[in-house]
Amino acid sequence: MTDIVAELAGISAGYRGRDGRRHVLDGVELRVGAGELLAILGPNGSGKTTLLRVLAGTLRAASGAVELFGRPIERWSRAEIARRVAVLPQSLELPAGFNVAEVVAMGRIPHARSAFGSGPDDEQAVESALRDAGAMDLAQRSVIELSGGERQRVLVAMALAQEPGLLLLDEPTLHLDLAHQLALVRTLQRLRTARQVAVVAVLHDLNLAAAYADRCLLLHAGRLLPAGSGGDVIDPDLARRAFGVPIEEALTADGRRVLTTVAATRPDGPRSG
Amino acid sequence: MRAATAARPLALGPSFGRSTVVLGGGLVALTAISLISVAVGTSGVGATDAGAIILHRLFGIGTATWPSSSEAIVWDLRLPRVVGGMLVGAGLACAGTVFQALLRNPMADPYVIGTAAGASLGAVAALLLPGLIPFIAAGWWLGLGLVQVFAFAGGLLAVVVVYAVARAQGGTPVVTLLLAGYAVSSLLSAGVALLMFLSGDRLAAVVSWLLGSLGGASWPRLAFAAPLIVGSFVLLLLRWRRLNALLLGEEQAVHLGVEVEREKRILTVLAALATSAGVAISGTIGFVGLVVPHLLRLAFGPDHRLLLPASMVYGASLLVLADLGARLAGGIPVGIVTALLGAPFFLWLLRRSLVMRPRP
Amino acid sequence: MGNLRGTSRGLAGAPLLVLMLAVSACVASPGASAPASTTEPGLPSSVPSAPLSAAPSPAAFPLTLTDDAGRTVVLDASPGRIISLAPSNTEIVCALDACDRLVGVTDFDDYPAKVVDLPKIVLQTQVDLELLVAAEPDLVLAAGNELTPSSVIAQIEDLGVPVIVLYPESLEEIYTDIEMVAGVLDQGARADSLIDDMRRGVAAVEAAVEGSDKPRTLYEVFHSEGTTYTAGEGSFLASLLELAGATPVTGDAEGVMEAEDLVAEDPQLILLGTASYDPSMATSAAALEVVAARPGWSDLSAVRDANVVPYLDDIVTTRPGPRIVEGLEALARAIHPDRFD
Repeated sequence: MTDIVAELAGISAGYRGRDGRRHVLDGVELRVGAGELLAILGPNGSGKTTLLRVLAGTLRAASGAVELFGRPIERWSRAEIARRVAVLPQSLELPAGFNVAEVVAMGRIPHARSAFGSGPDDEQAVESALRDAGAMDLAQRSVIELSGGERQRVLVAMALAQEPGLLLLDEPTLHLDLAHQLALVRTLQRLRTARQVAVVAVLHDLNLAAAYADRCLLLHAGRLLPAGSGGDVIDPDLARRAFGVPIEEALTADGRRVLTTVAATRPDGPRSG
Repeated sequence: MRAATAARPLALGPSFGRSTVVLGGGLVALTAISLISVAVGTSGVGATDAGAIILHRLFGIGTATWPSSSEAIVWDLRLPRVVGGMLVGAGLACAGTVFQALLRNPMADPYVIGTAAGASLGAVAALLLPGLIPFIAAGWWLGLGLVQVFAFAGGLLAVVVVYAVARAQGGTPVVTLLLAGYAVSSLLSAGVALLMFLSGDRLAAVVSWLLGSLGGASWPRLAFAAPLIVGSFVLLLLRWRRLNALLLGEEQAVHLGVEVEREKRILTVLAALATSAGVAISGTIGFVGLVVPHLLRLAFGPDHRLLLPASMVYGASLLVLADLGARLAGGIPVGIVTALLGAPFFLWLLRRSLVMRPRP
Repeated sequence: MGNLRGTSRGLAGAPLLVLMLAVSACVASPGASAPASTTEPGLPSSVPSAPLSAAPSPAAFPLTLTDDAGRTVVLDASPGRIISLAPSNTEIVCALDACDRLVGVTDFDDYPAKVVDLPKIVLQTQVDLELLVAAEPDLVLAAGNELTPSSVIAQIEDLGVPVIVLYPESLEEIYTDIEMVAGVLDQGARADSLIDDMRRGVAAVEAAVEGSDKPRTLYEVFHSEGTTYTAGEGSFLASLLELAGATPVTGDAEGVMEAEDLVAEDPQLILLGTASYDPSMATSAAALEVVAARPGWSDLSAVRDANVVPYLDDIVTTRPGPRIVEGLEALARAIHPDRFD
């Protein structure tokens, strides 16, 4: 881990409940560096989206310090952030009438220099974004014709076109089938090495996260807890407490540890035999 | 294989060639329609005389071989109407494009956040005031009459009110803007209706204004409206990227570096200025601001780099053409003509696009 | 969503906005509204600059007058090319033997018969400015009370053509208007004899109906959906009805009368001015039937006594011009047929 791309210290942000007195994030610490793939795990409502918003600068923390690339976030303008930080939202409706290349090219908006045209920089950035996201073959397709997996690749390409140093993804695998989930996570892995970009991805599949991320963090009770690194899954006890369901550890055929949510007792389970 | 795909350039937007064709074609159409419009009228002053008169007035070419009445007809009656039609048509279409992007609603038109209702209330009040306070009509502000000033101010004030009503702590949500626009417009329209009811013998003048007409276009009025409308154009044209970003939704636009709340304010002000200035010249002409952006989006795509200037050019052409029709049809309000001309064509285009779109 | 810089962002373009408005203000100075940009419009290039030898008293011009809208109008010479924007104005000009000076009328003009051949400048109450300018008028006679919209009057003035607004609301005002127009046309003698004839005509009517009972009379101008349009209180039409020996049933200031008020007034005689334009009321029987069918009307004295008259002289009765006396006579005849042979 080389340069620190983003750092959160003592962050309290977001409001839980109607009374708004307790914060969703309460004393969060985080540090992510260039070329690192960081997975954020946690149950719904634990504040994962809030965390990403704080990192992206779209939500101001109630207390604590946020630093991007060594500079406090308050000193960044919205345009400056967009040149260094790209966000892949949970879902995005793409407007009809555009083709994929045009949508990806919107990622160049923060870097726009001339009033009306796009320069060779822009074309290059779009091309390499499409290539790295595996969406080159989709370039001239109309965006309304895309399948879920194809659309996800396009969104990744649009984020990459921003040439970010920090890439934030909010549940990118949510609407994807297994094959596409796998492909996406592998792409993220590739990207963080190839482009030396820091990637922070909110994932819901514990095993996928553990297998591909450099580090996993679990959001629980308003704090980020280390949840495994280098391929190791988190402690099943921690997982049980965080998710509130019975979680067991199992071994795969080749000896890797994985977590599974099969219940201990199954009164209505399938008939055997 | 890889080399081959890399060699073919990616289309990152409407190509330069395509833009040239679309805009150039539009400009050619606009010029042709304008020339025809100046050369045609009920009085029979023809094309050769009209052309000679314009050259004479603009560049001092040639000696006057025509009666001064012909000169007055061409220079003081026809030409201001044509220029006014261009300005108002372009302004309405441009404002419509902006509001459709800003509000992410294809049914938005330039009047949706209150401009028409506010301008109408101002204009109708101004039409009726001289009946109450005889001296008030005597003043001329900036070459405009009372009605124009009140209409312009009314349109802008209504937008301010709608925006203020829709403002919440986090920003101004688009749906709230739309609803507030509807509510405020309804209230102001009720005011207009009440005034119409009380207008007595001025009713004809009120109705005539509400239906919209370029008959009152004069050089002083154009001199007032042109800087506002053209200024809005220039500033809006420069914002095409931000308009495109807004199409992705406000949150994503923020992630692409757009200060969304500030941008919405700026876009609203500019579009409202162009609209109100246009309404001050011509009354509330409908249809142009809603349908021209639609037609063009169906035909040329939603990228504002091309859509905005195209809406200006084609909006101008449509209104000049409609005004020509209105003049030749006996001076009927031009808003009627725009609807009669444009609606069937729009319906046809809609059907055609439905038929031709590939089914998934 | 938080604001990063934390500063308040006022209207970012406010200075720009002010600049744009300032540019507008500078460009559109009041001076720009003056018609100086046109080259002597209104004076047709074909008019010789030497005074016409036929003009008897050139000392009367330039003439300054105040028209019926309170506007001050200055005329440099006696106009020879007049456009009339109302049939009543046309009739005044022709009654003063100046019909040949008319170069444009409205499509409602019908008297005298020859004006029908004149170019139509006003079509369906819309003034066609192009046709107006093409006719090269040196005077426009407009209608008052916004029948010619004041914006149109302003546009005509901007084109350099003087406009006189005529809107007489009584017999005396018609006489005054005739005199004013006669002064403009230099036809003072003709005006005097015309007005004399008119006064005598009025006196004759007054004499004829002297001492008769004055029935409550409703003059229906128009009727729609339970609302009747009739003589307004204190209006010209009301005064004519009085002169014709009737007690006018009047509506509000604009002549609007709701069914309830009408029933309360209970007219004894109903003159259907609408019959002048509606063939379904051509005969007394037909008119009575139509009127009796209206809710509440069958109880009116006029309807019960079958005193419903299809009135066919609406044009002369409501056109405030030289033939108004004929209109008055027609009214009197309709109200007191026994006093006329």
